[in-house]
Amino acid sequence: MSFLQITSQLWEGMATSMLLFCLTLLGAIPLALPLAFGEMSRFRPISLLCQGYISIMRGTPLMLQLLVVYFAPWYVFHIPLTGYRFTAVVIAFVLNYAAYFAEIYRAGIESIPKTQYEAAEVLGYSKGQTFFGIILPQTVKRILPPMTNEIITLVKDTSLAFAIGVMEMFTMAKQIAAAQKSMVPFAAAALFYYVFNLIVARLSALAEKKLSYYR
Amino acid sequence: MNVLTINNLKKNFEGRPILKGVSLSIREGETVAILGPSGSGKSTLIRCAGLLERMDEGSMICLDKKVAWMENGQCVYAGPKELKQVRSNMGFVFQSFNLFPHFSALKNVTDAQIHVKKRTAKEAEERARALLKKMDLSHRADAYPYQLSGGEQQRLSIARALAMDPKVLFFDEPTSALDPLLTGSVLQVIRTLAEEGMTMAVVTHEINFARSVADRIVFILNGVVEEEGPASILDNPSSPALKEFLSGITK
Repeated sequence: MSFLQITSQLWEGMATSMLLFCLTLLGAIPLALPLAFGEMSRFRPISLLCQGYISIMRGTPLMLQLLVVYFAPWYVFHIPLTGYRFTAVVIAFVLNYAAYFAEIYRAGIESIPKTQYEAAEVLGYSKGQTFFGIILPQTVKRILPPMTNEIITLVKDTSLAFAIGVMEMFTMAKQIAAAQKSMVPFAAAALFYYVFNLIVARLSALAEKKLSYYR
Repeated sequence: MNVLTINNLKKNFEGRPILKGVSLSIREGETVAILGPSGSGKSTLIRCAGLLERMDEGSMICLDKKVAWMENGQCVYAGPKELKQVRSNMGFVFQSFNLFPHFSALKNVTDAQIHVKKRTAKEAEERARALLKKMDLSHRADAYPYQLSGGEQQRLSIARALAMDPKVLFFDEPTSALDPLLTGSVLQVIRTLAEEGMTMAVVTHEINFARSVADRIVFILNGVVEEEGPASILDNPSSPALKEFLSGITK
């Protein structure tokens, strides 16, 4: 099999990987915001709950979380779910990545000087206006580099979906490699990840440039 | 008429007394200069006046509205709605400008007008452009704060405060972050505002400026008002503390 043939065979898997990537970002980026707020909450039970959640999500392997999310409905609650594989992967990824993103948000929000809040306060801005108009835009600029790091990791983490048998790209590459006794599928997989991340890094650089109009 | 009256203000930080019973009144149209060495509590005083810090003890009235008062030995503040109303009469200029870095100079002056005062974008821009002109910043309207000199940044922050039509303007060491060459333009702006009858309280280290602009001087040392009076007290101080402070500065 030629490189092109292999690549076309992998195509369906690539689509699955990219879909998982997009859905994870779509879920985790907004979900991390209330989580970050919860962590910074002055109401102790809420902040402890969020800190505990983040600690567990960061402290255990994503693959293990994947298995828990996939098997728990049947093993623990005896709810039979069919066609649940891909949904389970997305849920586990969103829950895991939201924890990492929340930490980045928190650090970003806390890095904005208190004096910005004071300036907004004396001008009479409400708390909501202060956060969404003054603090958040400045936070976005600051968290762009660490977020890019996490997003690049996410591209590579999509390969973990194989743990519960989702036919994402790397699962297919391994199968073809085994059948053909060839290294070419691995090379195609490497190229896929590399180009994907090149695009992610490029987009991030563009966004950074767009936000460089102020300091 | 008094725009602001503070009585017997006490404030501690981590158990350390910073203000030990200070009273301050600002009459309409008056410029009050608050002087004192570093650590005397003058910044804390102006921050309490501007509602950025809460008093531990004391009472405060702003434009006939009770802002804070003593109740059973505790200092009680008015509710959030009342405080919002009081705050809308106050403007505050910080030592470190605290401009919004992601907004252009123009937007720094228009944004709160639109979102807080609910003015139309057109009204806000007209007002902002007039103020930028007054601050000699017309040509910098599209610049971002990092592109402005310190003096320009401080004048911009004064424009931002004035755009909200405050009845009283507080300055917390407005020139202390500027090098001597840049302080002049900021002091000139404050001088012009004083001549126009703006009610102001200015915490400052600029003795000559205080002497020539202030209607009244309040000298604070170790958390108490040591001497208070017209600008002439700077030439004829009666308290030994003010005498020593002034001689230390002119030396």
